[in-house]
Amino acid sequence: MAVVAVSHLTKAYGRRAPALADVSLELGEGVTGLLGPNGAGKSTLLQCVLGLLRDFRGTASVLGLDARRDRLEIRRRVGYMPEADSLLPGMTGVTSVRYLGQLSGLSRRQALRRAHECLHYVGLSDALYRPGEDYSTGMRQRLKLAQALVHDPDVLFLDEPVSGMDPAARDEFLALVSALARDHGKHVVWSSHMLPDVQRVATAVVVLHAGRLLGSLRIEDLARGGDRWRVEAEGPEAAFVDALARHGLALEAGTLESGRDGAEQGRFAATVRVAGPEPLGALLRAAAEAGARVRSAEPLAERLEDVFHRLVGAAHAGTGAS
Amino acid sequence: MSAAPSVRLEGVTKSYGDVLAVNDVTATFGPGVTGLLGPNGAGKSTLIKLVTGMLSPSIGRVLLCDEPPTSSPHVMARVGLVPEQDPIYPGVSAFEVTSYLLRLHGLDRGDAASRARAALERVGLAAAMDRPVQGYSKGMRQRAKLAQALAHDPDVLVLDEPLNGLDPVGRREIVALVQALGAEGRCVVVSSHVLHEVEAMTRRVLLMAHGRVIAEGTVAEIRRDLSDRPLTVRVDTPSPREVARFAVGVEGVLSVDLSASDRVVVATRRPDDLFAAMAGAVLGQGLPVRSFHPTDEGLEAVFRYLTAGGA
Amino acid sequence: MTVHARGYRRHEGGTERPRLRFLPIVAEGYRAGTRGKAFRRLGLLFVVIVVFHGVMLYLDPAALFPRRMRGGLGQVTSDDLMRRVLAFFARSLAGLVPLVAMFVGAGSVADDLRSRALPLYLVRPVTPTDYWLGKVLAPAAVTATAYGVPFVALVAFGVLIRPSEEILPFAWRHLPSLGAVVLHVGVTALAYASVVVTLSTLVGRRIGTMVAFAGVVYGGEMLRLFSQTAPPDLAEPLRALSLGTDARVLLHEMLDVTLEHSGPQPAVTSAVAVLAACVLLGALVVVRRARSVEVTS
Repeated sequence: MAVVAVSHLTKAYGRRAPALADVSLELGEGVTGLLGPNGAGKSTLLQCVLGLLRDFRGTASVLGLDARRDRLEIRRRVGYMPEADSLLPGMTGVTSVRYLGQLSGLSRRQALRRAHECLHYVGLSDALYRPGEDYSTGMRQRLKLAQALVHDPDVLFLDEPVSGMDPAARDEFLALVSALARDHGKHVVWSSHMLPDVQRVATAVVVLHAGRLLGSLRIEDLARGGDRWRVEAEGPEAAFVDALARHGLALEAGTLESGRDGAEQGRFAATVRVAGPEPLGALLRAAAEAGARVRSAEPLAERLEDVFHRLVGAAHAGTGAS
Repeated sequence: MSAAPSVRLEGVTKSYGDVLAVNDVTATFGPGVTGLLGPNGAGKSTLIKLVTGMLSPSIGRVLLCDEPPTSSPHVMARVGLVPEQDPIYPGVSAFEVTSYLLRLHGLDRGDAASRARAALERVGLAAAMDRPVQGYSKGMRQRAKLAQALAHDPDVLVLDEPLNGLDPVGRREIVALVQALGAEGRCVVVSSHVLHEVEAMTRRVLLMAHGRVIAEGTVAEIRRDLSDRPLTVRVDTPSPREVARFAVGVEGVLSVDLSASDRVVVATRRPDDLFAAMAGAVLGQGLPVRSFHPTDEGLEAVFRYLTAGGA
Repeated sequence: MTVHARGYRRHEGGTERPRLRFLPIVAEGYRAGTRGKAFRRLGLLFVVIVVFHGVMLYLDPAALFPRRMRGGLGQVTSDDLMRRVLAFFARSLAGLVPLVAMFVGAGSVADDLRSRALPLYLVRPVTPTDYWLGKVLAPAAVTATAYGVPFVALVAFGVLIRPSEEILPFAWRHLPSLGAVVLHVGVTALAYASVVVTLSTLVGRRIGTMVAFAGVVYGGEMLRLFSQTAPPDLAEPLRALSLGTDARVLLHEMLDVTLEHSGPQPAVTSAVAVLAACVLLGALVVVRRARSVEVTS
């Protein structure tokens, strides 16, 4: 079943170009990345889906609930983590989560119980009774996740959830969200500009651009490398390049990085087109002939970033021509 | 032209009251891009303030192009800073702010206007430069700050989280701009939490934790110095057990992880031996290997090793 | 099974579908409001004043304060004395009651705006109307507590020290007074809370709200006092601009008392109109602000 379904959604503010123009899309189960440059219409889409905007054309639904008619029911079943550094003033971590749980319909006692559980889960056990104002950026992001989880929603909308976190905190956060989707059946819509994070956590992505749906893809479809290989080796660089040519392996122009990392004399990397039944064998044979040692050889995985820029670039070219 | 663009810190310590933010740091930032990395609270922000002369050290000294910034204000004209916070200029446009700041540097009105325009065009704000900054998106503000830092053509540029709030398109443009600025021979210091973007800008990093510099150099140099951490190599194969039998016979291999069905993960203290032996086995004995690559050579892994558990 | 699932656990307790979704907001605001230092200090002051009025009921006030009470409280029957002391009590507290609403309510919406908390409410099953009700009723409830508890205690005290009469008939006769007091307290608290929350929404800062609120309340009182010098067709609107007086006019009407030395008094209809306008304006301002909130930056 579609977690979020939108059909012919159009929303314009005044006379400006519409924020969303006839968008139809479905977000499936698991973690879905919602991508798009600024002004693509991601925020407007989320506001329509949550029933915060109702004067749109077309239909929008969450878990089969109509965004106009059942908006309060939708909000009971959705947890939303805003991007802004939102904080309930003057409350401790536990108080704020408990309070928001009550607003989502939990009784006070149940909400208090859930607040503790969720805060422990997101790793704030040491800061339960400290004022939210004293939390660091990373802790505030975790607090917002606990707030989004307190009423045990089926769907989580996370808006730029790891911004401002340091690498270790970000890794932990990605792991928490992955576990929620994998082990606890939560559906997650992850809206972000940080494409490598999305690639790690999401199973599918949807790309919006200038109010239109630009494309959608599954992350597993990215992994298929094709015949482009990334090779890193040590040794005589020129001899290796010659050997590649002798074996009919095409070095992609402009990809050779020699003397990589400055001090590492003799280390180099390149992208090579390798056809044939035994790509690794062919590469290693060429290297052996040249007296070079291959440190790394793998099919070049396509990055979400590349696909994204291709899609957006094509859209720009399209609008430029028209 | 005086000394080459550089920033030198000599035994710099900075404390506020009883809070020690930077602890005995000696480091040099030369021409080109250097990434300034570290977990939250590592002292990066304080270091940036020291480097740009906004703070003076409690102990030690900071030299900007061989001159101390706090006592010779004229070297400050050679520094550009993109601060993390947004300065607020209500009701003025990016062009007005930038040209005003240039006039503070002593340029006349015409020069300031043309230089400001050029800087704003370079950061991609050509279309929006005459609109008030208040209406800008987060990404546009970031570009405006960058233009202000660039406009007076500084030799030393300090960028604190320059990609914050930018969308993917903007990120790519700014990464390219930073690379270009480094290639022009300026000393560019970039502080960021987003390691893959730092990796895209530069291979040279300076890593801080608990107020101290814990590593500096290129990622590969730092990785090589972490000799207590064996290199982990992922080998994709249709028959993991066969590859595992091979791997345990190679000198220097410490462990072989067989938990996945389509690969083995080998940890080795002597990576060169492993790579040589594997190439031999694949070519000579037909060892069934599809592909292989080290998994902990990148900046992410290096950062994790250095900041985990206070090692 | 001996090893239980660790990590996240789903919630089995279910959720309610409360009809009054604003109640948690009121409860939280009330808790926060009554815990503050300002509330305790003002509460102490109120106790002192209530004791003073108790003494007035017990002794002959005319003998104690012959000048101040001349033509006021002296030489009346005990029934009258009771009602007049209540009206007098309302006037004694007139300057203090708005302070309670001010300290408790000034931050209510402003703090939410400053810490960008509004989206946290509105992505939950909370409508802008719920938000307004919660935010207004919380300071109203705190103000009503601070004002109403001593007031009702004074009524009870008056009943206890009734002059040589059976308790039940006396209490029965004064039941309407109690009703009038409760209604007056409620109206006063609601009006002040509405104004302070409206200003909190418009000003967006706690301190600024306090200043603006003090301006509205005490400025309104000034305008009322100076209304006599204004042209006649302006006098009545000016008289009605003091919220405290408007609420007291209602009390006097219900108690059927006139207090001397109270300055110009507005007509009951204008008083009610102004009070209602405050509440409606508050609803309009807060609901509009909550509607226009963007959940993403």
